[in-house]
Amino acid sequence: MAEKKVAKNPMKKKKKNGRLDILTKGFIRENPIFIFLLGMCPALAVTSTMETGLGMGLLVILVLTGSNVVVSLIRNLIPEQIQIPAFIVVIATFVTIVGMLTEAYAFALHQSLGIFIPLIVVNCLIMGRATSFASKNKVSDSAIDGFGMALGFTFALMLIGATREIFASGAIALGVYLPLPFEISIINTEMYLFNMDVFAGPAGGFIVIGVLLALFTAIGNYRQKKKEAERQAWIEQKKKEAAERKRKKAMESAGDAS
Amino acid sequence: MISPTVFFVAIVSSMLINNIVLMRFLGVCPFLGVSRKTESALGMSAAVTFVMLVASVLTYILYYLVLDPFGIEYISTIAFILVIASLVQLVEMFIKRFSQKLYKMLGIYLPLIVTNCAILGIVEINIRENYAVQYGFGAGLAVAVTSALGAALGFALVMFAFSSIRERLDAATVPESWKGVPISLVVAGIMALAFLGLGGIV
Amino acid sequence: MFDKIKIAGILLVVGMVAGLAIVGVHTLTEDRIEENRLAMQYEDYVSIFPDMDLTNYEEKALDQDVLTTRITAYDSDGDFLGYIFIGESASYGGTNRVLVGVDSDGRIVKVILSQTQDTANIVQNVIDILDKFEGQAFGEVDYDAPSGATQSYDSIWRVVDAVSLMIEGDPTQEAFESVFEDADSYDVLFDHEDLAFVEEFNIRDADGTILGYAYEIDVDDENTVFLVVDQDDVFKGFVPKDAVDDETQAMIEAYDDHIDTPLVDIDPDTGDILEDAINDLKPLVETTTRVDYDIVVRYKDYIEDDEVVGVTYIVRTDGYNARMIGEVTIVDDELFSFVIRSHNESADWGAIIIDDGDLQEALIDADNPEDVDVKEYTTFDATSGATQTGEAMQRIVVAALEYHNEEGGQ
Repeated sequence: MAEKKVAKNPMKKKKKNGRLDILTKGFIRENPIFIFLLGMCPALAVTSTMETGLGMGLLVILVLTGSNVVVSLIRNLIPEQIQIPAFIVVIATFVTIVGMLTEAYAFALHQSLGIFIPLIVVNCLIMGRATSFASKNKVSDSAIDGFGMALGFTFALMLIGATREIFASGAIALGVYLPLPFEISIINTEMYLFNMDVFAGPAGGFIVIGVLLALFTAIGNYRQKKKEAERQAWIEQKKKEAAERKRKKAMESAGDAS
Repeated sequence: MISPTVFFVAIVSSMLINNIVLMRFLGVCPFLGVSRKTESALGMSAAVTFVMLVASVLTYILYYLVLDPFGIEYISTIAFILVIASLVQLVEMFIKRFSQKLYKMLGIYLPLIVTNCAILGIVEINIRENYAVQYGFGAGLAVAVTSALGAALGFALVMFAFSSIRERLDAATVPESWKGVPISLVVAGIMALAFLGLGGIV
Repeated sequence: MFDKIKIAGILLVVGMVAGLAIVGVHTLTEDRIEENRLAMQYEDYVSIFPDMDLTNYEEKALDQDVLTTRITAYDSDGDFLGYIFIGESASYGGTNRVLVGVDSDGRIVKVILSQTQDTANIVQNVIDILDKFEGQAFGEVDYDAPSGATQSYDSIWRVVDAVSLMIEGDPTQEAFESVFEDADSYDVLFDHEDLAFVEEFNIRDADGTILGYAYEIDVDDENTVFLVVDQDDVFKGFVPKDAVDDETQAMIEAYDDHIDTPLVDIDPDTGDILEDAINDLKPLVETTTRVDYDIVVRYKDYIEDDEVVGVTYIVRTDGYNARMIGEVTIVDDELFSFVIRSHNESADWGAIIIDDGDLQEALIDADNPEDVDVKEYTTFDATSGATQTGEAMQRIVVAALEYHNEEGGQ
């Protein structure tokens, strides 16, 4: 049908907006932690403060962008059978390099992340992007995808970290672990008066992620319902239009006949 | 000769006090993903235990006989993950060839183990603990394997306990948006609180 | 076939490129990482001695179980500030790295727990009380572990203790060296009750051969003296542990004439605690053939008509907490009595079984003590250290019997 309709089909509305979409989908719609539950271990372990979460996120950005680019570059050279081992080598190399760089230039961060730096190797997010996206797409797209996904991951870590830090200490500090030229606390609340240490501990990690996840699910459910309602309305309208047309046709043919 | 207390402490501490899932946050993915049914929780735990023990021995030997003498400790991450990946592959082929029954039990969990951070995590922790420096090469290996066993038992314990809780959770009436993983995470948080109390043992 | 070679080749190339990249980055960052690690150490040093000159200090590796390094600290004028001892000691979570600063007066400046894998909230309990060490002389600080953090605290205490021995020297060892030049180590044989002396020691040379025995006598709260005999029970004199007051010194010197006399031939009449000690020791020496055998010591023979009818063995083993010593008497090849002479089990767990006495009775009554199920006597807490305590007790009896059967009680 050539003519423009007034009511758009909500199912068709999300036309892929090319690269911008690849970049932003990781934030909410395909958020690795809140939607796909990938990389839960670091999400729990390094988010006792926002800054460690941010630090881990930055490392993952470096590793994921790098490994996606390299995997995409060599995707046609690697036979199917050895894809996985080859990708593991690529990822582990990036992790090792990023680990060494961190130890050299952000020592405090390296100390506080500890064992979770080498464990980036087994973060399902990275292997997942390598096999499902980078091994099938162009280098530039893969780079954007890796960067965007890691950005979404970082966003999630920071959100969890900020929540936990606020409840545990009442403030959010910046500059303690990252090599920044300043050390400030961004938000200061009276929350420290309650001194809820449990949020900095393991139990707090599980509970905060659980609550945030429920929140995300609730938002998702709400959106879906809205979308469903829109679709229903659209279908109703379509039905109405069709009925209208039918009536018109019937009237026209009746007119012709008369 | 090191005192038997060392082994006792190693087991208790890696099983209960520093529980791999609830305190060290390793292996959370299978914890959330696989622990729906008690049966599969046990299967996964068995596979993890087996691979963890063998991987501990292999990486320990690799580290102290190859990486350390040649001064290339910094490639340990890449070396360990390759060892684990090939080990899992080998074990899978071996089991498939020799015991169909065992393969049916563990087969589907084995590929998942490569990306299970519990294995690589424990292996790395064992090396960072410097057991070989503390107790000597042989005894250090024994302590490393003991604490790996403790960690695996801790994993199995939590997986089993959690799967039992989840079977009940599935039957409970939970608000729509809390269904599934969110409520499980909160339950895990409460379990972690309980495990925090075990710190008093020592 | 060609395919397989190709695959292997590709993997090899991938691996080599990865290796090259890693080595490259390693060479670039190596120095900086080393600097960072040093800087972290320096942070600890400076928190102990804020005036320390980090460009001018001496580092010495220590050949010792617990302590690894001694740092000699100077200030910027080159004046001696003190020592920093670095020790590594096991805790439940892993190895704890502990730094102990000691000033020029031999007082503790600060104790730092610089690396630990223990659980954060437990560590906090320990860190909260580390202040109590500051400014104290060694020996003035009591072992006082916070509850719920015993293992973490123990690991720190071991380091402090090792430093204390290194700074002050071990008075016991020094006392033994004044008698036996070759004395290299000693171990506690067992604790006595109701006698003039409280502890009995084996004195050994570097090869572990026993040179002699020592008996610790507490003259009063301040003064401690050892009665030392050699392997053949020849009296080697009384030696003071640490400095003693003039009065005690005079008591000791009264026995100088008896040195190198067999103990049994000494007939003292000084009327003090030293006389009591000799009188208490004589009957023991007369009836004792001491054999150094792993952890079993044949201690006392009961002789009737020139025939050995009974033997008492002293057996040392590890309980749940530390050393446990039992006394097992075997008469006519039958277990006759079993008493725990000393132990370090905690009052709430292990000590309950020992005080209870049921396990001791069961072990004596059993045809084969090895078959006694210890757990039956520790049912109030089968998983705790109580089981270990019970098993240690069982080990004592079994070891004594085994030894007795091997030696035939002769």
